Amino acid sequence: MRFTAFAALLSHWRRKPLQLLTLVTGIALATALWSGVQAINAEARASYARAASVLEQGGLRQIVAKDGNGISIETYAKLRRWGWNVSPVIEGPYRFGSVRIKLIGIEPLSMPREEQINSITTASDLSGFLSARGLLVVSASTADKLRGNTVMKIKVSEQVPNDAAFLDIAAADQLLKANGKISRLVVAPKQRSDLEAIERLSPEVSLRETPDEPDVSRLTESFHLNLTAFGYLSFVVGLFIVYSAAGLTFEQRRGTFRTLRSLGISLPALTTMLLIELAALALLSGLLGVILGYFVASTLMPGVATTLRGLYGATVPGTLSIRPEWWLTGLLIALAGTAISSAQSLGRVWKLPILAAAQPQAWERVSKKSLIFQTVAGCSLLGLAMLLGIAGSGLVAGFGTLGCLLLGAALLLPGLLSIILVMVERVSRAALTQWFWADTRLQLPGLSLALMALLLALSANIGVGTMVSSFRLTFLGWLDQRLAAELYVTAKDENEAKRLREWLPKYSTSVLPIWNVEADVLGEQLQIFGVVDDPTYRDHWPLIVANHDAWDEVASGKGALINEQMWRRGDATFGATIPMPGNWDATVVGVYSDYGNPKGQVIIGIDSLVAHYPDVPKLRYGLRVAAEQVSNLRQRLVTEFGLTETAIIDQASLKRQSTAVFEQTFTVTGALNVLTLAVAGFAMFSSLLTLSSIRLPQLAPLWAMGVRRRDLALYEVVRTLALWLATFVTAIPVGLGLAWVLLEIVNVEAFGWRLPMTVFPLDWLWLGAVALLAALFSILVPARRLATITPAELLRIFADER
Amino acid sequence: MSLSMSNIRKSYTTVEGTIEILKGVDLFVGASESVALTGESGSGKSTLLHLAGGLDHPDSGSVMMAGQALSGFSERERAKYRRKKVGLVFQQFNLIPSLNVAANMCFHAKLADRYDPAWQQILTARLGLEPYLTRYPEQLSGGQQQRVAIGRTLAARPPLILADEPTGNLDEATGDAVLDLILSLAKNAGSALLLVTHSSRLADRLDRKVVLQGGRIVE
Repeated sequence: MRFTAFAALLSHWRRKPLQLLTLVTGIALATALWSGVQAINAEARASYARAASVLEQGGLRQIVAKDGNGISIETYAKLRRWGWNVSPVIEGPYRFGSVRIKLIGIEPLSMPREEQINSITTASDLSGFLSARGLLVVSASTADKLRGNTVMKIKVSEQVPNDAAFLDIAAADQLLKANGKISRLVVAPKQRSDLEAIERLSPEVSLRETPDEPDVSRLTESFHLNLTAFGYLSFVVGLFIVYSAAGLTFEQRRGTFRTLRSLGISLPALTTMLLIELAALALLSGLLGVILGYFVASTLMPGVATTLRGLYGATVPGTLSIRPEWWLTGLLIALAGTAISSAQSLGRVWKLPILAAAQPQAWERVSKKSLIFQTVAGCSLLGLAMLLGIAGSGLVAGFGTLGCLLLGAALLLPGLLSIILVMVERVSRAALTQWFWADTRLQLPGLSLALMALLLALSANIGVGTMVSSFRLTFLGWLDQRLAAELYVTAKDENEAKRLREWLPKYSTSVLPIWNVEADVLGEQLQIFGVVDDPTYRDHWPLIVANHDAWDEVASGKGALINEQMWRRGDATFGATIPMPGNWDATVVGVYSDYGNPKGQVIIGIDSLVAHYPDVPKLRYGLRVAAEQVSNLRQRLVTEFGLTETAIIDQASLKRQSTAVFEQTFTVTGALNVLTLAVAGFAMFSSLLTLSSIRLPQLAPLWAMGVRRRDLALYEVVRTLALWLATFVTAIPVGLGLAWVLLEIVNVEAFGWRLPMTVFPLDWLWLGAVALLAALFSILVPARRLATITPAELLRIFADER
Repeated sequence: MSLSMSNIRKSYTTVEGTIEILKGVDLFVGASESVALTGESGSGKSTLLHLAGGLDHPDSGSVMMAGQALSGFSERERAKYRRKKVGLVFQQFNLIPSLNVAANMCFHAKLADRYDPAWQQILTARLGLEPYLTRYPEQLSGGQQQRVAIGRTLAARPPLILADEPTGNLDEATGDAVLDLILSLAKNAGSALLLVTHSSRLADRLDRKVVLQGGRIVE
């Protein structure tokens, strides 16, 4: 009996395959983008954790030098003598020919077992590792790059991330010319209980506790939050399709529900059948969605990897691994999404009286009351967005503002369109024009979800587009100013650097050392740069706030410049005195823009840098020369001086590289933008197709009164375009609001820099043209169907009514 | 303006095969004449009405309106014919749900370029629709909706009114009142009326009665 009833319920799909396709596609699309983004995030986070655990022994506490100059052998020996079970690490960047990698020199005998890499656990591994020739343990990809560039033996380990190599600490000391300065000490988990405190034994070092998450993980948090926000946006847009399709199927089966109940199927039994049907559909579509999401993620992953490397220096593989938990959450989100989208329809079935009159089109009628409620909710959310934007702080408040703004605008849209349509209808005189506007208003409830989805997608496109274009404009202008030197050279070692310092002044206007150390300033591990007193800086470096004699103060060694990130985060204020590593203080005399750098940065005078940090590597230089002398000097550097071609980079190439990294950073965002717009286009298409199938009774009388089918079809096209235009116009202020929130709140919180907002109306026109094309495409099938419908089908409307 | 249909044949293809609905029907409705078309369900009454209204094409035979054959009309001319020459009243009213009563009433007249506010006012009063002008179809009873549908047709002053069981959904008293209105207003407008009905009582009140049976006119 129940099987027969269930079969009767399912027979609906045989008659309405297109509806089934819409529902399945809606759930699949909603799941696809969501799970795709989750897959990317999961892969990247797993990669950070792996890299941190392998490269930095991230699972253990570390001892670091307070002044950034490294830990002396004496300190290490003292700690060992006092019973501290610590293991030394010497690390730093190194160039093998043209291949630049990070060397991590470890002492395998004292390194805690938990942090040992698998490749050096046996005795033979160990002898190779400690051999005179030396052994580099690297990833397969790094091994390929290194072959032919080093005489050292190479061993491949899947544990080691790309562009890094493990080697014996003695070999690292030699290669990096560390002169016994230890970068950090890894503290073994097992220690004696009666140990003297580190600070008391050696005040020059400090104990760094195990971080809850890797450093890079914290830095990239905003990037992943951005992706997650897009994932949710696409999910919501997809759910609109599901809500619309589920609503229609439930409404069209009201008659069947009533009949089944009249024939003795209880309400709980009927609801259970519907739940089973929905769950099966959700699982099937969810599976399709997860597969689709995997392909989306696989396509986007190389771009994400490049972005993360370019922006944060994080090593993430460009490929995706299949994780069972990801499949499971994909299916669960498909189930949850379907449940949310169908809850209202299921609720209606629960309340449906057995003898209720059939209302095949009731689903599309939204009562004035609910429209008013929706409008009030929309206004409240916009108010909340304003409140959060003004009073809130933090990244979560920023994204909260974005969410409230988008959802509020979407909820407000149907009410706003309804008011506009009533006004236009009132001023219309011609019968068909009046009907056109009135009919558009009548269609609004059926189309409102698709229009809301379109508004969300368009606003996101305008908002993110404005943010990216504003960023691009500012960034390129900033690059032009900042990269003032015509050539940049990097010496292989200190000997070569010393020769360069003697040779270069003869052939260039100015030589600008680019020297820096990494040290703890105000509790953050950051870079301290030294600059010479040169007009280049005074003329070209853009300072956001500064004393009138800021460069003089820096040159004198008293003043320091900090980057915008440090200033915005409130780490240091303008005019404040900051304690510098090595027991000296500097006064903040200016703040400079430093786009693309997620960390804080300090600039001091070059003399001061060398005096306080004598071990600072002195390998890199910027050279000022007349433009016509650039190629000549470059050639001389290679032929006369003997520098390798790869050690020289000109300004144009550097700008090109920086711009490429910038463009790559937003490739993923752009792709997600397009995908969200495509999902919204599909939502529009499915809604119009659904409406077209139930609109014939409304259009047939007009045809009977002498309006041609092709004219009716044309009206449908014009209606879609009119609604598209209204939605697009609404999306512009919403998108600009979104851009403002992104630039003024989210970017400042996430990256620590604020950019001026610039509007790009031509970009809107381009987006408008794409959306117009999508709108035309969405109405093409329904309009063509209407234009070519046979009179017999239209006449059936009058007969069916009977 | 008279309607002349001669030797009309029409068949439909269904899952059970081809069914011939009309098997050579001849019908003439003179200007200002009212003709009742009766017959059993499935006898082809509505099909004949649709052919007269230019909504469908006959398989063979000719439909002439004021001496002009509909068979030679293009899609555009057929639409114009329906707009200017014909007024249709359906059993299910088929009002435009998005327009209020006033806009529904004048809709066809405006399409036909024959909108006359004074005539509409008279019709509104005669149909008793004055209190409902700002209401929407879904806010009216069946009888009220049918009165609006009749008002819409008569406001356009079409030379030919085709009514398909206009009182079929109404109780007897309301049905009688609606028919009275159609007859008197059609006479006033000088329109010919072809009315499909099952009721011989109603059919008797028209100038002439034609009975359709098995696809042929038998009376």
